[in-house]
Amino acid sequence: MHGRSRAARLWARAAGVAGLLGLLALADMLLGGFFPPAEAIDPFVLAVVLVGVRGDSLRGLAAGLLAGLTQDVVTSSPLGLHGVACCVVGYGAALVSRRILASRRVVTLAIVATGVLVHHVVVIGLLAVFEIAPFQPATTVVMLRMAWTTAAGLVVLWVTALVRFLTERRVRRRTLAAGRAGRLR
Amino acid sequence: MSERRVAVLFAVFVAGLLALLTIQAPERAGDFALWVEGPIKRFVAAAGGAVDRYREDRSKRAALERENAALRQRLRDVETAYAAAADVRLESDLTSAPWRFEPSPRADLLRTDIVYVDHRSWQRTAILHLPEGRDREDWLRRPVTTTDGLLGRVVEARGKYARVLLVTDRASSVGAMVERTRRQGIVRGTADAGTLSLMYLPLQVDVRPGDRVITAGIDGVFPRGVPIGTITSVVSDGDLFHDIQLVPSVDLGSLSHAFVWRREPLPEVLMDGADGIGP
Repeated sequence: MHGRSRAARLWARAAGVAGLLGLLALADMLLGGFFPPAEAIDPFVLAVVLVGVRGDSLRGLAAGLLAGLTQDVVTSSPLGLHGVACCVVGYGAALVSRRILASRRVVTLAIVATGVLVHHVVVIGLLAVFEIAPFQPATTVVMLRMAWTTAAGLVVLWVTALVRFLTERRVRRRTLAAGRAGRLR
Repeated sequence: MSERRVAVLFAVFVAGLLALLTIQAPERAGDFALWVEGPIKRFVAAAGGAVDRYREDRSKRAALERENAALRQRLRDVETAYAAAADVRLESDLTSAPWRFEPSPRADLLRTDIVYVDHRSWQRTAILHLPEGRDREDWLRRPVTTTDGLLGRVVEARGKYARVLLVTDRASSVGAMVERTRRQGIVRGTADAGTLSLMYLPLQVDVRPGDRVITAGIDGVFPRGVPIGTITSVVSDGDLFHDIQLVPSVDLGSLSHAFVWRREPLPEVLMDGADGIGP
């Protein structure tokens, strides 16, 4: 790891982002086929909010830009439609998380739900102003989307917490084992 | 990166994406451009209009000020010309007054020129030039008036000239009355050439400054109704009569023409007992 050059690290990071975006696109396209209610989940908004909450405002903004443009491509929307919405969501989530205690899971999920709502509002507003296509989903549809995305967010947070826990336990066991064997003397 | 820079970056990203959307919706872009451009153009047009109106008002004001100055100058010229014309008219009126004088229908007047006014001797007299060469007896004791009022009476006539004893002479007596109350008295001349005295008005008689005094027509010489003068002061100091001063209606300083009445005076034989009246 220490021998890697900076360029290599950047390439690796770019590849990771691209991979993540690809996964998101795949999830958006395939989830509904396996589990119809999953059609209501918005993986892009979920990812943007989680990055914005965990990182700083620049990361939230960048995540929103990339995720939004990807969503435009995946959903065949005019380029920039979801991009503007996700930029607003990502930047806003980062700003909000700096002002309140976002480490708590409930707060994070509330920001996810709000992000979905804001995303919808911005998209509907832009479609109306630019008269691209009539899009006025019912309130229940929006509420359902908020609920399912929040639920998915809960699952993601639980899974990431579990993975972190398992990783830390393995590291701790290795350390203890090494200590017993006297290798640290 | 500082928060301010991130905020700027956010604004740039959003603006760029909106521009991208605008490119994909050109009709709406045109409407949006019009929505932004309209108020700006209207403001520019309004500002330009205001500037034009200001410039136009300034030039109009300058033109109006020039016109005002010219009009004021013209007014001054007109006023000067009017004043000159008024002087000419006044002089013309004074000169033509005798010609325009319309005497009473019952009066038979002879217009004469006053050729001499005597202010030096103890008698105050004037000399008339008579156009008709009649006998001197025909002129004696005839009343003489001007357009303003009573001048006096003829006391001497020779050839074409006649001497008039002015009403302001101390020897002159005229039967008179106050026009307002019709109370009669006698008007005499005084030592002051500019004043007359109205005598024999009892204290109980109502008389006040400003009252006009006219001939009463009771002295056998002067006809009734000819203006003599205007009362200037009334002093009631306890005697039987008022002490009344008049100013003559005739301006003795501007005599030029006179009218001699052709009416025959009352014969003296019928006037026995009359006092104060004589040639």
